[in-house]
Amino acid sequence: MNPELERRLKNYGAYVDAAADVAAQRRSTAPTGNAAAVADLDNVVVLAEQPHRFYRALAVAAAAVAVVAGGIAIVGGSSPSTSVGERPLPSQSAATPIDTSAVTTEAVDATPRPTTVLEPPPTQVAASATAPPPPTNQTVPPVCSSYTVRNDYHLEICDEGPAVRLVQERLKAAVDSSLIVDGYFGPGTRTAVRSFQQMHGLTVDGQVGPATWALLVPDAPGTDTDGNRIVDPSEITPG
Amino acid sequence: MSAALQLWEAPVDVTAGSAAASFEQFIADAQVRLRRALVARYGVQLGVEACAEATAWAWANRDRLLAMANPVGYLYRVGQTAVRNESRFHKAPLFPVETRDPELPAGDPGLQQALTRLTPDQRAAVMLVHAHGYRYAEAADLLDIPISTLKNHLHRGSRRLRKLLEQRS
Repeated sequence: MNPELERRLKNYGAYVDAAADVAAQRRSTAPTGNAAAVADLDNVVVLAEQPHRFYRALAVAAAAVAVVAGGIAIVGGSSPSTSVGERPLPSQSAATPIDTSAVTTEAVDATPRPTTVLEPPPTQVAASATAPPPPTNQTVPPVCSSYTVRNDYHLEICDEGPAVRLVQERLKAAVDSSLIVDGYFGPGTRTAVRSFQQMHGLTVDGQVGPATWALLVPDAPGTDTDGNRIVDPSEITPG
Repeated sequence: MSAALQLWEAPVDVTAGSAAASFEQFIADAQVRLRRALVARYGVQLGVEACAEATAWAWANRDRLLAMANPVGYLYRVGQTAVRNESRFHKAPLFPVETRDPELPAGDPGLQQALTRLTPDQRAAVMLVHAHGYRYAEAADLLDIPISTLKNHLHRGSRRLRKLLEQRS
């Protein structure tokens, strides 16, 4: 890659970023269903308003199943099934009943299917595509109602303190670069601890015991006062 | 680091707020990279839309996401699926040559034309590494592919790009 092309690509990258900013801005400000927005964001509108073809095909198939089921029920000729069928055909409904019990149960089984299949998917698609859910609605109940300061084994979920922060720093470097280092042992940290334990063949329990600690933080800052050649969580110098 | 330090010094009030805030922060952080990758692959309009889809998915599935080893890479795939679901039955080319936007300064039409001739994987790799300056490991994580694959895409993509631009000039 020569420097000239590199420079052009850099400029183009900045340009694309700016263009994406504008597009995102427009997307968030454009009122849904507006004609101007439709013209402006052609791709977006196609994504948002068309139910997926798969679901449309599924709806057609479901309707076909319903018609067939109705037909079978009508051949059965019992009175509940004719009321249930979509298109009662007079010539067939006059036919003599053959083995009514089996056919009517099948018809009753089949009737709820079109409604259940037809309804949810398009609404789900529309909801997910038109409006990204606002963050505030999505807050789940917290895992920990309170955190306890712990500077000894085993560090586990709902603990906090400098030792937890140290663990998180190492986990961030070793396992998951997106882990947030805040000194509070939450579910994210527990997951990272688990994957670290799995990677190193330790018991996967999501708690930082002596074995995990020794592998995770072999060079913890502090003084080894009890002389076991490992700086334990109780011996680290905070900060 | 400084924000984290502040949080550490505040002794209480770290229950629901911090969990939500950290996820929000994660999303905001991921969104930047995600949008770049998706835009590099699919062009501005589809890329931005795919990024929004992926973000919506992330909010709906945050528990699953938090348990993942490479959440951003997964979100990239979610965005890819959103575009693919839409474009599967369309013959329109991805990464379309877009109309000039009056709000923006002039881009680089020659380069864009050449970039459209690369495969989507090559384009994404070249854009992320050379245009946005990501390191190989970061770009590979983002695209959820091994580094060796990324290097392949880069090598072939930049070779192709050079050839195309030489032909033109």
